[in-house]
Amino acid sequence: MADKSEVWQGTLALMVLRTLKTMGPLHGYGIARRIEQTSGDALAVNYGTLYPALLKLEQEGYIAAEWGVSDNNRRARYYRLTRAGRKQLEREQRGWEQMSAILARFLTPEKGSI
Amino acid sequence: MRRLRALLLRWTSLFTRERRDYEFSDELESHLALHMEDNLRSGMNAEEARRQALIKLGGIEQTRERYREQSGLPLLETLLQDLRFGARMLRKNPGFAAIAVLTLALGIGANTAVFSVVDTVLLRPLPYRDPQQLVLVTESMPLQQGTEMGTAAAEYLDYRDRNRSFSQIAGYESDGFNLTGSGTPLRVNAALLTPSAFPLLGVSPILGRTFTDDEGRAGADHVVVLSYGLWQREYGGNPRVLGTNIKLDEKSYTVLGVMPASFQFPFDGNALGAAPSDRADLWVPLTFTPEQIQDRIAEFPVGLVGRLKPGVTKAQAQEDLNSVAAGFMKQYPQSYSGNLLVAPHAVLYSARSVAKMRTLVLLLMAAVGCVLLIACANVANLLLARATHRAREMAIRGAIGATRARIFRQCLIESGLLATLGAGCGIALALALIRALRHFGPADLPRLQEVTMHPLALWFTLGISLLTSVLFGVIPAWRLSQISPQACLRETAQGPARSSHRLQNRVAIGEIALALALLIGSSLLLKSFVRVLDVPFGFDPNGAVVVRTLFDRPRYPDPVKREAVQKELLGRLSQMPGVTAVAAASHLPLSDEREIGFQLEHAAANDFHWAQNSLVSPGYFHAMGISLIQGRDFKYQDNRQTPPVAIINETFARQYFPKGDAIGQRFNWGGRALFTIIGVAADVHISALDADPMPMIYDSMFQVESGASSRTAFILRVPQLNRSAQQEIVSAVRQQVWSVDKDLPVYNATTLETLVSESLARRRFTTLLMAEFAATALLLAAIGLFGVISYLVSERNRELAVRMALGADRHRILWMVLRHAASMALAGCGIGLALFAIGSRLLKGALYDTSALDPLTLLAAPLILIGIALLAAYWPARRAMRSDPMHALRYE
Repeated sequence: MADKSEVWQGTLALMVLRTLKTMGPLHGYGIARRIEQTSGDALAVNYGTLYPALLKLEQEGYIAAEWGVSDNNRRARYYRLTRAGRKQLEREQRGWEQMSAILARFLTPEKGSI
Repeated sequence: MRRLRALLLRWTSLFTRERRDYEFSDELESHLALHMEDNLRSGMNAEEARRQALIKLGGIEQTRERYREQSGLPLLETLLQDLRFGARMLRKNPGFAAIAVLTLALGIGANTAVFSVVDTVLLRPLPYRDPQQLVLVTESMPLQQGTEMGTAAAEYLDYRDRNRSFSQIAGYESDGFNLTGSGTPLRVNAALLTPSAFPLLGVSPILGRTFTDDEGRAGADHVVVLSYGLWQREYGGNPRVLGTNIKLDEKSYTVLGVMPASFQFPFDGNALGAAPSDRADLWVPLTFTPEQIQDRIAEFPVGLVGRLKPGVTKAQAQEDLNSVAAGFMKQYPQSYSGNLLVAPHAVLYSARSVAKMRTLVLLLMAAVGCVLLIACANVANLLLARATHRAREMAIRGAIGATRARIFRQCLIESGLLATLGAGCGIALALALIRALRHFGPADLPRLQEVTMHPLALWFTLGISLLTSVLFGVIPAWRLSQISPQACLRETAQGPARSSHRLQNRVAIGEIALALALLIGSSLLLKSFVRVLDVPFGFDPNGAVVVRTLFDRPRYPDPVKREAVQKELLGRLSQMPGVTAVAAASHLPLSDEREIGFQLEHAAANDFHWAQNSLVSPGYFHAMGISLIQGRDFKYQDNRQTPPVAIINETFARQYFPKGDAIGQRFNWGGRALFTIIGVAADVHISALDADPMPMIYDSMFQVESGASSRTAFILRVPQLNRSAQQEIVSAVRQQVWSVDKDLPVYNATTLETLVSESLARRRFTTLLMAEFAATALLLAAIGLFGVISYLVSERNRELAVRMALGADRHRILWMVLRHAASMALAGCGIGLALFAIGSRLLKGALYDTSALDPLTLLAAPLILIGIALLAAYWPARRAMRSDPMHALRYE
């Protein structure tokens, strides 16, 4: 169980960083919605789990937060990617790509090998 | 790096928590509002929109909690909370807290202080290079009484040249000189060393150099190395003293160097028992004349110190020495015959330097260990009692949701807090005690002034005390965390588990046992002390001043001239106002001693015996207050032309002339002449009050000539003696001496009373310390028992109330509680006696004229302890008796 949540935390962080890179500064609710939509509702989790992840990224200095005003004039806390966050995203992305490439090779056997 | 940053932020968030919480509430609020807006837009009504948003979020409180966990350091926060709570609990129970802290402080403080002393005095290595390789070599004559002595000069050379197990051997002797030529004449202690000694010991001078091998030959040996102390005192630490000449016994010596302050040599059994004033002030080369080397059996003055070759054990060295000795005894059969056979002994230097103190130190350590154990037991019991008392509180906490781990931690933190407080106070106490020990300890305890708090000792005692607190915090904590809330609450706090009572009782019984063992030990020491005080001194110490001088041979080569000055001085001193009697002696009881070998007339040629000796003036026995039992005193008419006479002591007379016919018998001393016994004097304790008198021979200082002739101590009987009178007398004596010869040193002015009290100093110190330990132990045990009984009574409050409500006699209640205490005390005393029986071996060496199984003490000590136990139990028992049954019952 612990492993699974750890993986979730890790992927969640990556998704947050990626979302912020694509969308620019965004509030917590927006990030949650965006991730939900992008993943095609496959990751149906509580929005609440997002906030500790955001806080952790903030503490690590990958994102920064500021109070701002939303399109429909509502006060919200906006998160944006920092420079360190951008680098971290690149690193993580590369890692994931390599990992999934390796896994892909394992999981899709070439024709005739079996 | 990132992780560190995060940790730092989390740490600082401990202090900005409220703001953080507040901000997050805002954020959540805005999150929900945004979500609701979307939901409204998709057609939900307001209520449904909010409900869905909340469901999707996963609960406000849960989210907040998870956020909080990420934002701060939750473990630390609850820890702080527990700490605060623990501190509050202690404040609420100041009595409990004070007793626990005080107990711990006493245990830690006393232990650390004594351990520090033990370490410095007993265990600190000698101030030489690789001291574990250093061995002292002594000889004894096993066919005689076998006392240890040095070696003859020729034997030293044989050991040095014929051994195979030492890389080096050096010889040394102790001596004294008159240092003149710089201000007041001074008496200094000197050590004569062969030049090899300094390199052997591995200590270099801080200034100049030590002796070369050349300077170890007679004729080239007028060189001197100064001690740091003498250099500072007499030459103001001036480095220009190097190369100058100083006068020792009228002869000129060139100053070669100065040794560091830490250097002491010799450092043997005698020097060990000696005050700093008896340390060597300077070192000169030890050389031998051909006559000294010739005569193998006359004197054994040379001490030997050797450094073992690497890998050689003491046992191997001993075998080697044995074969060397066997060799030279075979080679010189005319010297070694009859009972004049020598046996060499190799003794590790480090063992020798502490041998005398071993009993004392072990005794103190055992005592202080007992006190520490009692202190720990006390704290343990307090914690146990308190924990059982709080079972209900913990049950409630458990019922409203505290986890077992949390309760466990809470208990641990509270005991940890107590332990820390106790440790703090303990360290402070240790510092104070060490200061006090340095100030009031016996001056002859070596290195006492160098005692500082020893870190290892501190850690050791701290460790033990903290371990106890934590351990006994854990036992009840574990128990409490196992309590089923329902079961406990249903029980209405009337009785904690019986097993915890049993544990408490056992711990209290253990305390009583330890306290009893200590009480018996210290009572026996006290009894010995009283016995020693009761020992008849054999002389009258009241109202007698002692002043020493020295007629060194180079200045007074002619005995007749010296005798004239001595007589002149005796005459002048007796004219002084207030002085009723004056005498002189070479050696005085309780300050110095010397032994001579003698042969009774008509005894076999090699049938030697030993006796203590002093050369005294006529009137000595009168001035000292020693009674003459038989015969007569010396007279001035007994001179160098008349037949030599001697006075012996009672022990001598009893031992060699049991028929009481000592007067008129004769003995031979050192080939001088036959001495006729003219009197028998009462026994005097020469070496110490707690050592039995040896046979003793007094000679007239105006009749015989010996190595001791130059030593002269004047005894002035002054009936009206007080401090100022003493100073006046001493300065008057000094004037008189200097008016006869201005270069005579006047030193070691004191009174006979002071000599007596100094000789008792160590015993007094031991007794005092032990008494203090016993008192502390008693106090702690009483506190412990008081605590146990108090808790017992308050726990049985309800039962007692019911009994009283049903008509039980109040005194019966009192009796019941006291009986419980008495049974515990009895059990404790039983164990304590057994404990003492095991430990009494330690005590034997320290007792004087007192049996370790002294029946009176063995009977009285348990009675005292039981009395104290009852007293400690009486207070809570009375409270139980007086309590109002209605109140107790309604309280439930």
